[in-house]
Amino acid sequence: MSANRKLNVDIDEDFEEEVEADVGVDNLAKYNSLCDDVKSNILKGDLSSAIKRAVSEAFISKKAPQDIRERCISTVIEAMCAVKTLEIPTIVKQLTNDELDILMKFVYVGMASPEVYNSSILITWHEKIVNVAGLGCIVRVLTDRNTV
Amino acid sequence: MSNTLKPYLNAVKATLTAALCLENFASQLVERHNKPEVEAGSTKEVLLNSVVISRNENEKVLIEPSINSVRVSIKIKQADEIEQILCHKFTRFLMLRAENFVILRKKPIEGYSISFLITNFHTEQMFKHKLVDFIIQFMEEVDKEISEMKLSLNARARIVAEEYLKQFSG
Amino acid sequence: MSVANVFQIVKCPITCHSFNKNRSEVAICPNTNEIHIYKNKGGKWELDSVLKEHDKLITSIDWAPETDRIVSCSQDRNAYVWKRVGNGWEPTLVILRINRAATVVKWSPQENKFAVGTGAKNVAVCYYDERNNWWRSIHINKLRSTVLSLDWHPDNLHLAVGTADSKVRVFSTISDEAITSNKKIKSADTLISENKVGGWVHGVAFSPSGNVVAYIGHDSSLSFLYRDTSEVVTVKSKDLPYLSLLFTDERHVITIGYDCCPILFEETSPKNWKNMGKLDQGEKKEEVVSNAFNKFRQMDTRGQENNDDSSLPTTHQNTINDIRMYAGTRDNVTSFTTSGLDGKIVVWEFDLATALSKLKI
Repeated sequence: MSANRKLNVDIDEDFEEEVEADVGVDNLAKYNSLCDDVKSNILKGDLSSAIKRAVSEAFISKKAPQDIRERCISTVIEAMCAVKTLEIPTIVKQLTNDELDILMKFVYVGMASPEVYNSSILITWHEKIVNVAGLGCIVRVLTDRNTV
Repeated sequence: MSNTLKPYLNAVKATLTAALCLENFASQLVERHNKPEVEAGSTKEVLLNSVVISRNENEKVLIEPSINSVRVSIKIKQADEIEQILCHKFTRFLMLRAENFVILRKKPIEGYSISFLITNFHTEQMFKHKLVDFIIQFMEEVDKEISEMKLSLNARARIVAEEYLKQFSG
Repeated sequence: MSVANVFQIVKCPITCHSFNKNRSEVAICPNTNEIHIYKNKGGKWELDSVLKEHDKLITSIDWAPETDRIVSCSQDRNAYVWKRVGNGWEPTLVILRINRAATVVKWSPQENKFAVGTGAKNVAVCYYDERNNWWRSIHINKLRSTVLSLDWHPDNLHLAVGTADSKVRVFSTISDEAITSNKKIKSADTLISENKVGGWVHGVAFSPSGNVVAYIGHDSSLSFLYRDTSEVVTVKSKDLPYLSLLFTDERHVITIGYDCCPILFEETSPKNWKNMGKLDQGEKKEEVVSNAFNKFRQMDTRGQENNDDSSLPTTHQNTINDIRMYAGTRDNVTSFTTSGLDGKIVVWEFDLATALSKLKI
């Protein structure tokens, strides 16, 4: 009986998040290939193309399995941490504004788990990205519903 | 690790400036009401993504923005038990006087030491860049305050212990 | 591009402002439930009348230049149309039938009707009822969240609406013939187009020809919808988000927002819009006295350690929230006014050639 009391009568009027495209098998393959590409670039020592490949996908669907998401996030942040502090500005200059927006999302996701990722390097990335892309980049991380 | 303090504070400053773009928004659920949406939390479309800026596991700032209010929660560095007690007492002192503080929240968010709630009414009355400067200054000074309090606490404890034990050595 | 005049009208934020036809009077809301009308007496603005009818914060005011009527709407779910009577103003009742706050109101280009955006997830288009001397409303219901901005098409029929669910929609309202034919009209729900935006839609505007709809998203973006081809061009900016915009002619748009200064956008080539730069270059106040002297003087008089200069280099000291055309025609604006949270109304002279040359340097 008490279950009726907890029904949300406004459910039809509530704001619905836009339904994301279904994560099909090929999409999973897309994320896996992204991780592999980035990892191979890191091993080769070609960090600027690793970063460029890392931000080439717009976002990781919320419906993707948790382990795939974590693998993607950790691969990208590993790439970012591998870059030496002095080289960060050069890499940042090579990226377009849209790619910088995506990179900033990863910076914030990484900072949310300081026990796993090195926050001080992420803070340096944050500073360099804001120098180039301005505060608009941060505003887009806050407003974009498609979070990493 | 003080060489990361300046970049950390700059990151917080930039994120706060971006998050503090507030405007008046009457409640969509209750007529004639005007509530901070980040506290009310029922209108999903006017809430933005919350972000964390962290320096290490012990120091982080959580910023939860919305259309008419921003909640800023700070976790203060507490290295040992004395600092934990001091931090707790200090923040409790401030939160008891939250009304005079204007932007302070009476209870911190779980997992953090102290929380601020800034609404569009505050940004209308006060300069936005000064509000951001205030929060940054607060973060810098609270660490200094707690270290100072710890030093004076240790000094007093040493004097008291000395006096007390003099009885037994004399 | 220069600042013609800065008027510090009040010390509190100005929620909205609107000038009359010959720019001798301005109606503002000083962040309260009253409308203050200021008259220009010899270059200075003096308080002429105070219109008190609303209970809660007035969110929007619009002054119809030809018919000399003011419409105001507020968070108390009401709107009033004020007519000039002698030296004062008298309100006419508007039957809005909304159960949440009204957020924005605009007269149509022919000034025979106006549209009110509300927090009740609808837009009320109000028509005058001669028999009963009040304004009746017809609702547009196909909205999913609070209306943040709206604008009329020059043809007096179409309406662009921006809402807090990050969508901009263009509706066709009911034609005036249908209204006067006295048939029972249930609602005006004809949706023409719907576009997704990256954030809440703070401002929306039709170009002078009506072919382009420009809208602002909270993700610091300015987008243009070309109605003939349904193409959308988006410009993402490095600045803080904008709050409102004004078309100065078919290819130029001025936006204002949280950065406290107007910004010019130009369509450099068809369907290619570019951010040309800030129109308020801002000069830091010149420090005639040396910094060291200042520092000691501050320590002596105020006990302050640092040289705290809290003023911003721009003309406006706080967020600008309203921009209106001041002089010129709809497709060639030569002057515009902005009002902001610092209580200032600033009149800007806008000459396209000089503005572009200054920005290019």
